[in-house]
Order: sequence, then structure tokens, then C-alpha cells
Amino acid sequence: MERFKNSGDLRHSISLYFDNALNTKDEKDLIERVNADPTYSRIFNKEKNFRNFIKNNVKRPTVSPDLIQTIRSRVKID
Amino acid sequence: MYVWNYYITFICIYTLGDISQKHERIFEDELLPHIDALKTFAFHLSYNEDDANDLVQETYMKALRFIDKYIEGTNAKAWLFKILKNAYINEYRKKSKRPKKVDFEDIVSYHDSDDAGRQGYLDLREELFDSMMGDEVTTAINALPIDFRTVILLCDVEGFTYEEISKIIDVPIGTVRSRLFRARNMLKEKLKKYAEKMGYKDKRGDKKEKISEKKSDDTKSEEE
Repeated sequence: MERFKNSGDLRHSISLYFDNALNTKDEKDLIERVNADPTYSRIFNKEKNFRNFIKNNVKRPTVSPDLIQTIRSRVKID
Repeated sequence: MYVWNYYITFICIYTLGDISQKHERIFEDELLPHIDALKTFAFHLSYNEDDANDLVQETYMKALRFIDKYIEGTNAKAWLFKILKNAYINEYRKKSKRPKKVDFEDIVSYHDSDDAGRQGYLDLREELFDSMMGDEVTTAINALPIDFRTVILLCDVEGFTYEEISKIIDVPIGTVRSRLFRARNMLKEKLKKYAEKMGYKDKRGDKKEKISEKKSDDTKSEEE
């Protein structure tokens, strides 16, 4: 991976990293650069925090035992 | 002749029983464990719990109907999500309680070029997250147009890969990427507006002046 031409390139790579869409070599390269450069590290952590914030705070409604029971019953009837 | 008929009947009962047991095992071991994730996806598509429950039930019924097409041990979660998404589009979207203000499909297809996703990353201050309770994430996600909301839910909430999302929503991988890029920017914009409404002030403008006074290095200017 060449040095990022601009912050857009860097952010794009970071985004791909968190989407598990970088190949192993590019992933390793990015992590090395993030560890070595405070600017990269800061942008990396911002994206990480954003992703975690979304994942941890999105509403996940509970599934009632009744729903599971209804589905099981319908499956047996059908 | 009678013996032959008995034999055929016996084979049929034995085989059907075997299939049924196999299906039941697949249902319990591979399909049912994804019910929580399906409910979350259904809830954010339909906006309410009752419709979400109906959608989840519908999904399992359809899965059972087409269970012969499912290969045991493969990606059950992606398969179920695709069924749910199709069920939503075919039936629930029509009766969605929230009126559709704009036809976003035209906008989406206009902007869905692969190379469009490389510019203009919206930045959020980390402190902004401290000023939020968490509920606004749900509000912000639910306010996104359906195609953008879907990719955020599939990627950022459920952790599907681009390839899996591409198969679930039937669009090319490049389109998945560009939709995700736009969806995240829209989400950041909505969260930022929400935080500002709650009294959070982005002080980056003030900081910029200080940095320029100090003639700081490019590390600091990157933050702008």
C-alpha cells in the first residue's frame, strides 16, 4: 500500500478495514502506519468509535418467548 | 401387488419422516438462532414491533417452504436476511405506516457510481458521542432512506461482508460500497445535528484559528 495521497484515501482504507474488506497485506500495512503516525491513529480511532457507537446503541428489540412459540407451532402445523 | 404397495408406503413414510427430522434439526440449530438479528432488522425496516414480529414469522414460514433449497451448514443468516428483505419489499413496504416523502430510488441510482465514494468523508468529533444517550442512533438510522438504512443495518449492525450484502439486496458490490459511504455520511450528519440541537457546540472553528496562530504541523491540521 502506497502512502495515502490525501486524507480521503486514508479514510477510505480505514473504512474498508472496519468493513473487513482489506486484504491481509493492506490490513497489516494500515495497522503499521496507524501505530506509527498519530494523525492516522486519530482518524482510525474516530472511525472505530463511530462504528462502535452505532453498533452498541442501535435499538435491538427483544424477542418474546411467545413469538418463538408461535413460530415453532406454525412450523409444525405447516 | 399388495406387498409392493405396502413396501412403497413404508418407504414413503420412512423417507418423509427422515426429511422432516432433518428439517426440524436445521430449523432449530441453524435458523432459529438468528431470530434476534432478524427481529432487529425487521424492526428497523417496519418501524414497529407488531409488524416486525409478523415479518419475522413470515420469514420463518417462507424459509420452511423453501428449506430444500438451503444447504445444511451454509450461511443461514444471510439466507434468512434475504428472505426477510424480499418479504418486506413484497408485502410490508406497501403498507408501511410512514409515508414516503421522496422517491429515493432515482437519487440512489443516480449516485450509485462506484468511484463516488472516495470523496468528502464527514468527520465527527469524538466528544459528540458523550453528549448522546444512544436512542438517537435508532432515530437517525430510521430516518435514513430505506436503501441506505438497509446497508447500515446489514454492515455496521450485523457485520455482513460486502459480498453477502450484495447477495442479500441484489446489487453489485460497488453499489454496496458507495451506498455505505453515503449512508454513513448521512448518519453522521444526522447525529451531528441532533447533538447540536441538544446543546453540543462544535469548536473546531475556534481550534483552527489557534492552530494557524501556532503554525502547527500537519498532524494538527489533519484534524480540521
